Amino acid sequence: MTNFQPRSHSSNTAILETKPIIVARDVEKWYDNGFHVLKGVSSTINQGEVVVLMGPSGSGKSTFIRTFNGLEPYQKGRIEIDGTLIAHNQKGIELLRREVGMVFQQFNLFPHLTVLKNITLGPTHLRGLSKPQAKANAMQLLAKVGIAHQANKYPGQLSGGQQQRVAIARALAMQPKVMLFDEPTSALDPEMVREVLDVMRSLAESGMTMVCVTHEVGFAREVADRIIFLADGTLVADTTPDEFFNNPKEERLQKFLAQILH
Amino acid sequence: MDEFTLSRIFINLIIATKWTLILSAIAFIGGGIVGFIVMLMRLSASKWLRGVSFVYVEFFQGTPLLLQLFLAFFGLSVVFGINLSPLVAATLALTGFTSAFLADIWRGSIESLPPGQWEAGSAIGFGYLKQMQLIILPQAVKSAIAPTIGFLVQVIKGTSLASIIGFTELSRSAALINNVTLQSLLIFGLAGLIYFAVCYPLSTWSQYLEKKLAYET
Repeated sequence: MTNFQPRSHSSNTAILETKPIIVARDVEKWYDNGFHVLKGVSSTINQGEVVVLMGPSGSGKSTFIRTFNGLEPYQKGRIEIDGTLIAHNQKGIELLRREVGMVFQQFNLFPHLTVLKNITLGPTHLRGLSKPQAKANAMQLLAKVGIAHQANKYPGQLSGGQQQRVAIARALAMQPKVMLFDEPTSALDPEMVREVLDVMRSLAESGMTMVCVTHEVGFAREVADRIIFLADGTLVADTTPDEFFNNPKEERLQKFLAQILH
Repeated sequence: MDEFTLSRIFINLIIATKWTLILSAIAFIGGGIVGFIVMLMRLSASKWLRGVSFVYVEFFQGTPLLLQLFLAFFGLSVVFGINLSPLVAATLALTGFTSAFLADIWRGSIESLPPGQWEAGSAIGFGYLKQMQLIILPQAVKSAIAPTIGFLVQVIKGTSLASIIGFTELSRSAALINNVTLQSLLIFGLAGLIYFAVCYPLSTWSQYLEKKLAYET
């Protein structure tokens, strides 16, 4: 059902391009209550890579991904998106955010707009697309995520899985350089997880650069190029899925895997 | 001397009702415009703007409307050395009063939206004003409309206080006619019925909208 433009890319082949898209250096963040949530996390995400962020709850993985588009401010360190420094409340951050698509756990679709308008809102107002152009693009994206027939419904009329697929289409409509997924299947009923993961899988196969916070082991194992493991605000491991699941070296990671793999 | 027949009393009260409605409209339009600005200030990132608007809202909500009318009518003339007409003074006081309450009603509607709506707008790349215009206000209007109309009823009744500073609207007109005819029960009863006839449909409408809009979301 899902079918994005394919490009030679799979978890087993080497990445051809190594142009860094996201560069995080020693990122530190404290919450307002003083809690030290990120304790100097560094990582580089290259063009075309699919990186999965895993870790126990409270490890800072969601916070970390949210610093990539300035939704969470950080106090120390440096994050660059495609060579441009990103910082919270910085002037021009809106321009950077256009290049970074984000999919949220709670979908966050706009309930007062139809599915189609949800998707065309950004492109018409920020990318200067005409309404017919934006609509044509949106319909194409909706076809790719398998819900073109729902275009004129309101988000409240769709199932959770369908809403999340609309949210993915909405983010893609801005033609971002990288897509961030913040626990995209955690709020879904179990039978709807698959349809969202299928869309993400096909998006990964099309060559999109993706960073995903997720607990979906199957997706991480089969789709990710790299898995980053965070615990207590520290980057514990950054390795291939094979090493991650079959040969974990760090004790903290071994403990985590023992718990999630039963 | 002219006899005050029932029909003449009624006609006079209806004419005075016109001023009650005009004053209500002025209060509501002025209060709406100022209230919208105060609401934006309350939601602003600037501590200074938030502080000023907080004091403004608390002042008008924490003091009686009657006192605000006195301050506008007598107080401002002392400060500026000019005599404000009752209409101007009533406009100022009612605008302040109405704006303070509308700012709070509308701020509540905006703050009751899930933060995810702002975040989704930000993530797409919208700035603050575009988020307000395209995403936040269209949703907030829905939950604000019923309490706003409900408050309009309070404003219409509140305009009766303007009679104290000599503005001849429905209440003062009733009092003046009563001074001549001394038919208190009839005249104030009629005035009350007119207020009720204006306010009751609005109250009912507000309750209807509240149910209807809540059901659709």
